Amino acid sequence: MRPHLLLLLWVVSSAGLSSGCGFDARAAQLEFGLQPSTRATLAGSPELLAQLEQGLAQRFGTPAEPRDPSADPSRGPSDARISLAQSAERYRVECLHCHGVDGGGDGPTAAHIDPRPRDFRRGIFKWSSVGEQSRPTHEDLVRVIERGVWGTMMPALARLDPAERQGLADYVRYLAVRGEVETQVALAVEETGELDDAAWDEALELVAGKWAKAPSRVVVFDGAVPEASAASIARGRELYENPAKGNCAACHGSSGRGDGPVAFKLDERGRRVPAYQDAWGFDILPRNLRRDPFRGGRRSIDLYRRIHAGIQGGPMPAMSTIMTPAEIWDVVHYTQSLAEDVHPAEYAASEER
Amino acid sequence: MRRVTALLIVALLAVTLASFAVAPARGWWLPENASHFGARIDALFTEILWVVTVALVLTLGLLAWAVWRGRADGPRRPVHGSRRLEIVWTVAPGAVLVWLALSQFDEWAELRYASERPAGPVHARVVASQFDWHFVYPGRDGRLGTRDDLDAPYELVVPVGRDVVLELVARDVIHSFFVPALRVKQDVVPGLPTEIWFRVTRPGSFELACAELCGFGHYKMAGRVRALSDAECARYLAELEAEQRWNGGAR
Repeated sequence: MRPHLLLLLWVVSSAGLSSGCGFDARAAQLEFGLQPSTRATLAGSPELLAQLEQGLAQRFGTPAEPRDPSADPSRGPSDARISLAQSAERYRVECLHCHGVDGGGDGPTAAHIDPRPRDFRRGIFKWSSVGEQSRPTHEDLVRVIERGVWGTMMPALARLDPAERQGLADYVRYLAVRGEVETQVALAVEETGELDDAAWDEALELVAGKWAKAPSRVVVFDGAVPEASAASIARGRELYENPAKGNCAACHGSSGRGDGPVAFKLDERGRRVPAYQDAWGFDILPRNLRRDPFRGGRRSIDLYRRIHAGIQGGPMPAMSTIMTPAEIWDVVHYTQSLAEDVHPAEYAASEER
Repeated sequence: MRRVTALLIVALLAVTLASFAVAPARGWWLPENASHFGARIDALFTEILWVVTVALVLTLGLLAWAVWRGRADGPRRPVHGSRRLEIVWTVAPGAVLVWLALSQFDEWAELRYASERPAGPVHARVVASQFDWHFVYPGRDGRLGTRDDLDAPYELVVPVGRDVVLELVARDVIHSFFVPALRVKQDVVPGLPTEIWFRVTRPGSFELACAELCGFGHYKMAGRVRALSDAECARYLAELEAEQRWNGGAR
């Protein structure tokens, strides 16, 4: 190549690197957007859409100056040593590149990540301590931030101050409330054809109410966590296989490797593809139970809650109406036995999905 | 101009040597050692540093001398090489390198040969993944990979004054377990569980960093190694165990 062509190439590529390819996360450059579902709901009326966007900004502020119209009552003023705006700044540094400005799970790195980062805007969180159809508690969010989610790209942020982690949890809750209020208002407006303060108040009350109930929905086992015994593991295995009880083998497979008969289906070209999608529309496979620890934590109570309340946003059903607490413990013990004595190389290997 | 250049070379050499001379007193040096073999690693480092210093003084000195002397009066006869000189500058560094290789061999064997591994169970499994550290302790049964394992992110707790064996595993790409104060650095390779061992000589909390570029979040992949007395270590593990047995209710 001729020298002046090389020079040209160098100039063009360095100009590209310095301008377009970097992601500018300075607060002043960032704006909240509307969800695609909102745009679809109100596609016919651009004025209502503009009004909605304006109303959201009025009530929730901007990424640089966030305002929470529904502050968490379980968090007293002394807890909030870090302001929401400071947490927003921390979010931009630690979280935004995956979870996005709106918390839509659509940041610049999100497309490269499997499983995808959580979209907070529906208020659905998988790894929590609560029963079905409940928002997570503040402690649930803090725990995920502190410990990360094993087997995913969500890292443990234990290197941050406890106050910073709590502030991040506040900000995640804020984004979730904001997203769900937006959806609720859009649905109300679609019905009535007009957007007034009452619609906002009603949506805010509804969404804040769901979050306020979370602490009362925590799944607790009365009494000491039972010890695993050979008999309990054997009972657990029966429940795991029994179609009228746990029916776990249908998805997780008899071997526990997440390869049960209903986990996959054949597509039109006869290829084996995941049979289920999660609430966000992504393919999902049952957990390979032979790889410990599990995403929602490896404490016995974590597994108990997972089976008792299911996993929100995914096909894992709640078993509390089908099995007694004692039976759930049997299945927990059997599940833990599946994950024992796995070779470290397999133990550490990447998850499929 | 020629003589100014030669003086600049000498000045550069002087600044370099002076900065090394004052570095330890000003805190620009290595973090204070906290492991039983750290002093030997530092001795090797110092040994290599002296070799490099002599080479630097020699080459820069020769360069300064040649520039100073310069071409006194117009072009001279071109030089085609000197066999004797080339043999000297090949054999001498070669001998130095062989000497360095031999002088570090005891340390290498002691810290990496399986036959030198201290007896006893693995203290913890270190799990490296993009972009964090997790630590799994074997629990009461002393075996990893069983239900009573205990786990914690970010901070590894080890006893002071005892042999600690760690098993390093990586979940995704190559990472490197680097604790500067312990003079420990070992690559962590996916599919290749690796054991390392050390003995911490004083209590404290030491920086842990990933020392292998592992992706866009490499710079965030920080951790700590906290060295505690036996009693404090046992208390810490008891707390993790209580967490493991928690029933979800009031604490």
